[in-house]
Amino acid sequence: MPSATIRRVLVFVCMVGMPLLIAAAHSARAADSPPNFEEHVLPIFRDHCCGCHNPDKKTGGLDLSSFGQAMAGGSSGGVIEAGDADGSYLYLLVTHASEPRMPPESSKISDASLAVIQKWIASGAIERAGGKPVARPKNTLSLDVAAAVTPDGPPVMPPRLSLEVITRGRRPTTVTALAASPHGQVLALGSREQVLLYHTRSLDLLGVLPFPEGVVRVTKFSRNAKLLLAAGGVAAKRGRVVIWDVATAKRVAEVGEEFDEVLAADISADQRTVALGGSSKVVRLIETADDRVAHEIRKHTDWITALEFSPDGKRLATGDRAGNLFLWESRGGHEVATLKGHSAAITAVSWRSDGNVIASVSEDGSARLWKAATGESLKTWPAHPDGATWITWLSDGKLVSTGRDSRAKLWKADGGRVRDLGPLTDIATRVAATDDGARLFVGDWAGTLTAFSAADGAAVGTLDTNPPRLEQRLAAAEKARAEVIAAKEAASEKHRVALETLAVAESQMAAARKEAEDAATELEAASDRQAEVNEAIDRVKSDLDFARGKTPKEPHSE
Amino acid sequence: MGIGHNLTSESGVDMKREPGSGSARRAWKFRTRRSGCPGEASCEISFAKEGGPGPADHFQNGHTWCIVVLIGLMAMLCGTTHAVGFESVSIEAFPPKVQLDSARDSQRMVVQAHAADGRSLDVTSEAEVTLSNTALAAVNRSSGAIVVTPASDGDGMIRVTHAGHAVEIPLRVVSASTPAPLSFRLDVMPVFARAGCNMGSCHGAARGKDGFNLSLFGFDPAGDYHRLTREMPGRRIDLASPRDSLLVLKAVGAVPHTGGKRFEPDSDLAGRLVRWIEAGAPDDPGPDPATNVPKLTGLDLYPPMSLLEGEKTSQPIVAVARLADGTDRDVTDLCWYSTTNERSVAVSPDGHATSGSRGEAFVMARYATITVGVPFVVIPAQLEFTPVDEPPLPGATEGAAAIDDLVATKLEQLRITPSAVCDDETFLRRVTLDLIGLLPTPEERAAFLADSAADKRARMVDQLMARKEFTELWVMRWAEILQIRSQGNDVSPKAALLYHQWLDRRIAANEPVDKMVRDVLTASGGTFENPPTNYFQLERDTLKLTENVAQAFLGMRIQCAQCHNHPFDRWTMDDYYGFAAFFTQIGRKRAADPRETIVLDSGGREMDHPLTKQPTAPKFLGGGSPKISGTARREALAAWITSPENPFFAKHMANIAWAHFFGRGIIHEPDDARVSNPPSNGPLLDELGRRLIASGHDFRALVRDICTSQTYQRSCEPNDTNRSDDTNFSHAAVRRPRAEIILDVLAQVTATQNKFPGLPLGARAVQVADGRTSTYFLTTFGRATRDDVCTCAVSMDPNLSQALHLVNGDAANARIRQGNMVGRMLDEGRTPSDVIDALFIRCFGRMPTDQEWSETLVTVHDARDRKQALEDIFWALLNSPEFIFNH
Repeated sequence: MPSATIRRVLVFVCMVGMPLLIAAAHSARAADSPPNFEEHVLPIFRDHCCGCHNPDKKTGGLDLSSFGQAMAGGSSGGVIEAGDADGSYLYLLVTHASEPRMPPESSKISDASLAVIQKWIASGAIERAGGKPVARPKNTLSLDVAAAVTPDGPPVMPPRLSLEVITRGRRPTTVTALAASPHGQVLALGSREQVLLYHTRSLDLLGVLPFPEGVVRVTKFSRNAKLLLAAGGVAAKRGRVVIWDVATAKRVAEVGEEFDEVLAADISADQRTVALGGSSKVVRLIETADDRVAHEIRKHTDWITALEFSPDGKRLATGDRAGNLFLWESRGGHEVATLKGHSAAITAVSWRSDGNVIASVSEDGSARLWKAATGESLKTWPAHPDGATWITWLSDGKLVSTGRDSRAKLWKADGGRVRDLGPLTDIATRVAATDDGARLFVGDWAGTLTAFSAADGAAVGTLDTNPPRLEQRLAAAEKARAEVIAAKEAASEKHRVALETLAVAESQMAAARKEAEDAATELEAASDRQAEVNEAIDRVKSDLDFARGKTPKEPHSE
Repeated sequence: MGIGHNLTSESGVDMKREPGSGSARRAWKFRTRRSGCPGEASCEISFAKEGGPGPADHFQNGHTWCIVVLIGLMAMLCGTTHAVGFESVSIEAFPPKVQLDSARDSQRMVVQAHAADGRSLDVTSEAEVTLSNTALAAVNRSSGAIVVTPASDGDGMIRVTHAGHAVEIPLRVVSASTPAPLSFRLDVMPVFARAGCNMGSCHGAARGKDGFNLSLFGFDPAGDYHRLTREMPGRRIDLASPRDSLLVLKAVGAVPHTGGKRFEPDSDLAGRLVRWIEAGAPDDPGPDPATNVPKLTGLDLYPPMSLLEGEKTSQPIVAVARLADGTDRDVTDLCWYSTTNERSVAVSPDGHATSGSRGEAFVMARYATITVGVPFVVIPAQLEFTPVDEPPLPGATEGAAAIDDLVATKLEQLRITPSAVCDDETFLRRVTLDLIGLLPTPEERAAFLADSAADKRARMVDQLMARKEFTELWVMRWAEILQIRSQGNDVSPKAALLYHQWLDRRIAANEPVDKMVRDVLTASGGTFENPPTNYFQLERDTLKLTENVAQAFLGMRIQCAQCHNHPFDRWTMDDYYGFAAFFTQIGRKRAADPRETIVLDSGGREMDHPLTKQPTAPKFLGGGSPKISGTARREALAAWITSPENPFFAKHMANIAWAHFFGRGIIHEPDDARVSNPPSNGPLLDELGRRLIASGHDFRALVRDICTSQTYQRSCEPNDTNRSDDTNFSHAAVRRPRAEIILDVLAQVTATQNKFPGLPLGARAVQVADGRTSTYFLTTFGRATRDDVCTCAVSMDPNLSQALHLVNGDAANARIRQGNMVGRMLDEGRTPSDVIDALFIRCFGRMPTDQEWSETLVTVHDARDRKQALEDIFWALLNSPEFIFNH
């Protein structure tokens, strides 16, 4: 069998030739020509990876023993992004920048080898000496503007509403429900027994929507911005979803009858269906018209922590605390795809407005992009290595995420980093982007809510997530006024006292001046008297001398 | 050794007596003895039963003159009667000093009165409390409790008076106006332990419960802090509305909770959680919060000893935690209480002990990583009791007298009268079985009975110890401890045999136990050339080896602490991995002979702590970290284990010996010493350990002390007072000997021979070197394979298959035929009556009773085949409990 012989010879060459190849790698670096797979990278893979990632074992669906297979990737998608080492899953794992660390249960492969891999990917993942860099796939990750669902008409704003809060906490608490309108300058922040509406420009409180059902865990605007959904309830007791018409601020629907608070919910684009989930591990699709459960999805094995309808409402992505992520038909709840890859709780899932790409983040620290049509993995990157808490799309196709690193991070459509926002005071928990994508509102564990400018990352303001009651605000204002008045009175009193002091001082000064003048006169008189006395003495002395006969002077002549 | 403090610490009433003062009785034993009173050796009275000298109850058997004595006694007692029949002679108040360290500090107190006979009574609610300086603190009396809270800084005294007795407790108040913030580790974590949240069956399970996980018994505070506050941001705690936090709502049962309501919404526990969340749910400050919090150094329980009379007598407990920064805190409300004997002493979750039926118990409290216990004894109300006064046995050693004395002290506390000393026949059979694993031969029996010397029992002990069978028996016991067996490629049969021979030489020479253990633990070289190196071949896994050493030589099972802090003992994961670090540097290499391995200290490897992922320095269990040069980690360890200062080793070795002779250790099981499994007689175990050390670890001296004691020689026939006692050695236990001994004894009485692989025909089962070698008989009767270090691997529990094997199998029947003992005796011309006597003596070490003799003789006379009938009798004897058991 000639082919077998050839294979044997090849294996022999590979084994015997390894030191030569490594030497060649060094020389390649020295010569500054880009490393290639056959000569430089494969030996490293053979040493460290091919024990598992070979054509027979194919652990994780990945085979690194040939260029074609390596580029094809594993069961979680591509592992090598030609031209972008830091965006390549394989590189992130071998550099231990992401979990699971590779090779497993052993130390990192040498820095020299890592440098070879880095350079090989960065220079375009060339197969063999003289080969061409792999062309980077174009456009798969850019927003399809034509397909994007964009609301029309004038921006939807709420009417004038009471600004009286229903509850005020002892202090701000963790931001867990935050959404910005896709067509209007409204930010909805859920808290205990209320949804606070803020103006995204002025940052003023626009109104308070009561939620007596409990704590709001989710706020979400409908795709056309006309409806606002709030979901939550009382933990371990009941769960409910409430929908308001934003323009009138009237409740239009209340659905769901859960036995724990709702942790994830969304409303379909046609506004007929609400999907919700929580600790029951069941996703329920409920008709908004009659609060009827149309379908139940019972495939999840842990708490439902994230879900979102596609922009057209035809599909639904749901994630759970065990890291499962599924794609369903909204009607009937048939499974479309399993999005395999995350290894810990899914914390957020978000559809791009064109419906082509789904973004997800997880406590495993990674952000992932998925092809919505097939569920195949498009991209993975370690967005927040200690755990990511939220992700959402901007209208221009960028992404913004939050994580346990106390930061929000703005990403390009392909996961390339734009900039970091923060740090915040604690774990960043939620982020919402305004309809124009210009402002990003980031909430954190400690309950601070900061507005950032997407353009330059500057903090442009903060919102009070625990606003005082009107009475308190009035009392505070009155107190401030009283303080001002008191200060004014104090100043006026001070002025009066000072004037009095001045008058006293002036009169004292006049007296002193007079005293000085009198003293001067007295001084003059005294001087005169002194002269007179001196004269008198001289006269007496002269008289005395004359009397003793010393000076024959005419007495009293001088 | 802070932790053991409470188990042995003395209460105000001195419960100890000087060893050796066998006849010295304390003054409270009032009794009269009247000779010439037919049928009554003594006339006993108790005093002050009804609180007054009511005559009707105070005499026995119509001896009315006792009343006179009683009245005289009453006059001697000066205390005021508060409880029925309780005359206090002193009071004690606890804790012995009160220190208040911050504005929110407080200290509960208990006051205990003592009667002359050692009984105690809680008088907390009746005692009067005054302060030498009322400006220092406030004394709050709510529902009977005494709680001292700070007012201003300074030193003073707390004066407690009751029934004419008074005690003064020093009081120190510092930082009285400083409101100390709640510490997550010291104030919040204990809530979860107290409420049971982090138990293994609840959120402490490896995967948590209902989606929420806490570390088991709180071994990982940093992880718990994360899970409580940030794992699910916003869900478990609510900073804005602390009382509405899910954590609180679940715990107080305000929302459905699988674990139900753990505490009341207005309880201190709920208040702690709420105040902590109100403060913003902060972690302990500093870059490394764990080291910033003062370490817990001890937990004290008060009162240290209680002797309650009658059922439903209550005794509150106060728990004080000591911290490394010199402060202490009242953790009475934060401990998890349990009892070792629910029937005798029950304890409520808030630390109130209540007496039940007669007996003793330890009430245990767990706070954070520490568990401690205090002893309780419950005696029936108005019990009449006179301790027996026995003269020491002739030939008893000083150690034997000490043993008897300490056992008697405990029995007096329990108001138990021990059984009498057994007769010579019983003693001879018992001691021969125990010391050499055989039955006394008819000749030995006859000689012993004929011996009229007073000290013949003591001499018999010495004679038996001098025999090689004694050595072989103890080699077997040690082979179990050292787990001598062949094992795959690691230990060849030859290595196992050499190891066994090495052990045999050591025990035959009565080498000091500490030296032998030291030689094992430090052994280096080839497994043939230096056989104790096999110890490290038999267990090559570092962690298992660590556990084996702790269990075999210190009597402690530290396995739990591999994955979490030991819930019922003091051992933490830090202790476990610190101890394991002694064994990380053992290296092994092949010797010239492929069956041999060379064990050496190779250095290099470290033990990483699984939580911190950092190497752990070698640290003795409950001791310090030694400075070790080079690779001598095992040297350091062996020196520490066998050092006279080691608090565990000598006691454990003594307890192993004790357990052999009584069927039960003073700590039971002998290799399960832990805070929550205290010795049934602590002073006795201390004394045995002390004596073993003083004798230079002379094992035979220890055996001599035990076997010449009255305690060992008691009859197994119980009396009314000790019938229910099986822990305090008031009567002999009926015990089944080890499988090997039963087999050897069977062979002995039937005059048959055993054959084991590698040993000559006629060898005894006790001599089998390799744990791997076994027979159906030995396995059925529970011989240990020595795969497991646990003493429980040797089973001495009787079961059905053993009985069936003896009844139906060839163990008895075939041996009777094979040995032809009956045939030979008949051939010698002995009469059936004579043969029956001989069989009884062979099997039971005694002559048949008249009834046994006549019934068996009738059977033989009626039988057509007399030999067959006699062999049937022989078979019946072999199948009787009296033969199978040592008694």
